[in-house]
Amino acid sequence: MNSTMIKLKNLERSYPLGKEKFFYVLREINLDIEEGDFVSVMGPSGAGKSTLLHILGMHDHGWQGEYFLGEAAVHHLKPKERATLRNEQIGFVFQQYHLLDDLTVYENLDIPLSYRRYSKSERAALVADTLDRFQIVGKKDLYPRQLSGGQQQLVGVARAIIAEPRLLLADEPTGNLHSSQGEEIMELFRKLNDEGMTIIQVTHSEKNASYGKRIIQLRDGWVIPNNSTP
Amino acid sequence: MFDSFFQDIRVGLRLLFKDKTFCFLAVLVLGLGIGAATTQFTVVNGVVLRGLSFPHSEQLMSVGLLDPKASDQNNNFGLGFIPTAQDYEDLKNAQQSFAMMAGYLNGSTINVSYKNNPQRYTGGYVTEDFFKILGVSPILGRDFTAEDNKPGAEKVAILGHEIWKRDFNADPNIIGQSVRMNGKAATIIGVMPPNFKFPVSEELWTPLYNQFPPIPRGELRIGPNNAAPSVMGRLKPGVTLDQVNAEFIGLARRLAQEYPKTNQNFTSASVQPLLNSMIGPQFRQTVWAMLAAVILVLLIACVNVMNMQFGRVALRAKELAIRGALGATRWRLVRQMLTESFVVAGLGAIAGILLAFWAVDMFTRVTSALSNPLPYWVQFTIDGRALAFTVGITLVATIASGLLPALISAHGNAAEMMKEGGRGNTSRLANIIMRVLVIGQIALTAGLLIAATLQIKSIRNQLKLNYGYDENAVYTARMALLEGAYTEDGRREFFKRAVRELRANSQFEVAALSDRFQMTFAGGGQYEVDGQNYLIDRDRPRGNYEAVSDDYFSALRLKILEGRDFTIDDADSKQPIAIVNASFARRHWGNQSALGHQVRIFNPGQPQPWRTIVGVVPDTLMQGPFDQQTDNAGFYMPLLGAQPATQFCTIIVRPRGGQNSLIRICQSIFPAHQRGYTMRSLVATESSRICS
Repeated sequence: MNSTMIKLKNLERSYPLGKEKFFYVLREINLDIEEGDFVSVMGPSGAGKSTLLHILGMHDHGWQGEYFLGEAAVHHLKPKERATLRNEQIGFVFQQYHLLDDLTVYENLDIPLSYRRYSKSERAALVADTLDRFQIVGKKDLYPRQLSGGQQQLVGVARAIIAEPRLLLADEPTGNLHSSQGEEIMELFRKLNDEGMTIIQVTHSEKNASYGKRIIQLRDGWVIPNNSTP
Repeated sequence: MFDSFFQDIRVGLRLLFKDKTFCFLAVLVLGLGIGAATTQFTVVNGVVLRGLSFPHSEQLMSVGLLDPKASDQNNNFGLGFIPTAQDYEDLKNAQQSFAMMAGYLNGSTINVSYKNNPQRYTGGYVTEDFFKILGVSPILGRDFTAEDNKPGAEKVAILGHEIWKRDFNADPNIIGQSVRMNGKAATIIGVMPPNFKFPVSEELWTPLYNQFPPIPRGELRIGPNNAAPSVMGRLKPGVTLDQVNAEFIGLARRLAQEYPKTNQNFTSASVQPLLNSMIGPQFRQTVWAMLAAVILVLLIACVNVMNMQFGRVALRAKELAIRGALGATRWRLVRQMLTESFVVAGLGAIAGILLAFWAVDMFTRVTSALSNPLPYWVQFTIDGRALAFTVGITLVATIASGLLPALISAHGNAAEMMKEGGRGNTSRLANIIMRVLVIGQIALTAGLLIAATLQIKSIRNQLKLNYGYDENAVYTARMALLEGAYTEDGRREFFKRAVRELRANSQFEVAALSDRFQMTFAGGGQYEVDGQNYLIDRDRPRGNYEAVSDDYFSALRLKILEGRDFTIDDADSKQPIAIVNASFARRHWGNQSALGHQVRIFNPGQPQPWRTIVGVVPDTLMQGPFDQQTDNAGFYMPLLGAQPATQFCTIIVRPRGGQNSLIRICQSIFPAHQRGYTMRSLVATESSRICS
């Protein structure tokens, strides 16, 4: 039996609207996600999907409640400790790819490693392996603007997993891609999940959600019961 | 660490070349600021910091006596002075703090004739330990000895390396050769090392007492032989500045008690690092103030670049958020932004250093052409210290222009930034800071502009000073008679003859003489008028005084208000007389006539004769723009009948023709003895020929 990787207890996210008034984006989220799971978070726009993903990815710190990542109680960690934990365990794929325009494909892959404790030779080896694994060796000296959308997202995924995270978070990873490119990325996700990586994706697409093992529905910040299995 | 630093530099350069307009403007602005600061620091370095290059130069001190009741100006701005050579001798024999002491007169004109080729040099009269104190020895021949310095000894001289090469053909057998020095036989005994011109720009040195024997106390008198030397000493190891000052203050008090007639006012002393005495405090303050001003300009440049950086913050906010999401800590983002700022500042520094090389070269040319050149050891070169300063200000410029934008950039909310259309709070904060910066920049610039405007106004005021006469209608030339070339009477006759020749020339409307230097610096000090009791020295008033020939007031178109002008035959030996100006007459006698009253210069060492006032003339600015008095009170004495006779004087002519005619006439009257002159200052270099 797989162990619990993520546990959320009464997690809430709100923004102040005025004196003692708040607008809640997420309400009383209670959630368990197991190691090796592949979860799709779905719901209409404004439901709080991306907010939940950025909280899980520790980009957003203004929430209340309890968040456990493995053994770590994230809600008790200081910002610097959260950053360390994130760097060690989480990779992130964005809908807009968010590759750095002024860096080559090689440098984009190297960037996450340069922010971690890898030696120069280790970094070079990891980048070379990843370029080979994703079959983009020939594009290593190109800039993002010289790549198609699918190629850019491929680099985005490669960048997210290059530091070998346990958890991959993807915010509408195929939202800007046409269907064939989207399928290619989803197949890649399935393969990564098969290899043991835990994946949580936000998606509007039922088809993409079907690549996962479990769907979480959000409405107006609330988790809708009866989570389904695709 | 270094790898990521170089990676940041590489990325920074790539971003800069992508944003060429920003790059060009930022490098230009910082280059101008850094260039100006480097140039001014090079000046400070040359004037104040680099100092003297002699061994243990920190032990070299200047010594002076102080009159605690006198003004700062009369105490040589706190440095003091040695009133007579006898004071120096007494101090030297009594003191314990210095291993050696030496006295010297610098900037003297010394005429040397070698193989019938007369040359005029700037020379120094020095005591025998002058070079030993500095730790410098002649490269040829020998140093001075105590015997050389004795009055009546055979005259000897040591040549500077440059004149030895230029005027003595670098003759290796020059030692022992005879020359004529100020008209008397002398022997060359040494040649100094290259580039040695101590203390200012001396080219030749000769013993002090051989030329100016110290006059024993009780026989002191005002005159050319009462030469008061500058004094320096080398501290014994372990003696502190406080200790040596304490000792010399005690010695000054003792001299004041023992010799009240000459020393009663000099009850204190000042021993200061020699460098301080050679570069006055005002000049040092000025160069430091100018450095502060250009650093302020650099800070304004930094604020400009900071504003430009803030403009880029909004554009780069998303990129920094992505980097943050990929694992960059806030410090890592700040470091990257600062590295990019460093790249900009570094390029600015390269431009600034190139600019500084050009500016320093220009500055050196300008100062070299000054009529009073800076001491030879003041060299304006961009050396290691100047480059270290440039590196320092480049780092300051990096921080000043880049830190705040970096902190603000790294402050953004990553989650908000990366959401579709998210802007975060960076732009708003950056906008607020940009506005504050613009206000601060305007305030700083306004402050600098006000200071610069006041400075320009002050200069314009000086240029518009009312001298009391039309200074553009008269021309002046400074003349000096060589030491030893004339007797007392000979000097008087020389100047009488010169002024007669000038007046005989139809090109000149009027010609006269004055002892005022360049029509700017007259004499000045305390004086007495008849009928007043002065209980203490400070009760005596201060005023300007000037010795002038007859027709001086005509040359300046000053109307005699009362009484008469001097005549060419007025002489102190017949009857000491004076002409006072209107302010002087009003100060002492109100509306009553000053004629018949008496005035004399106050000199406790040598009482001056009472002078009967024979005339009153309008005021002029006798000290030019440097007059420290609250009014223009002053008086005039007859120059051609002065006791003792003057050696230097200023020729004043009012020409009928234009400037060209003046040059031609001067050449015809003083043929072949000018080595160079300007319209306002014609210096006679071989005056003996004038009489021929």
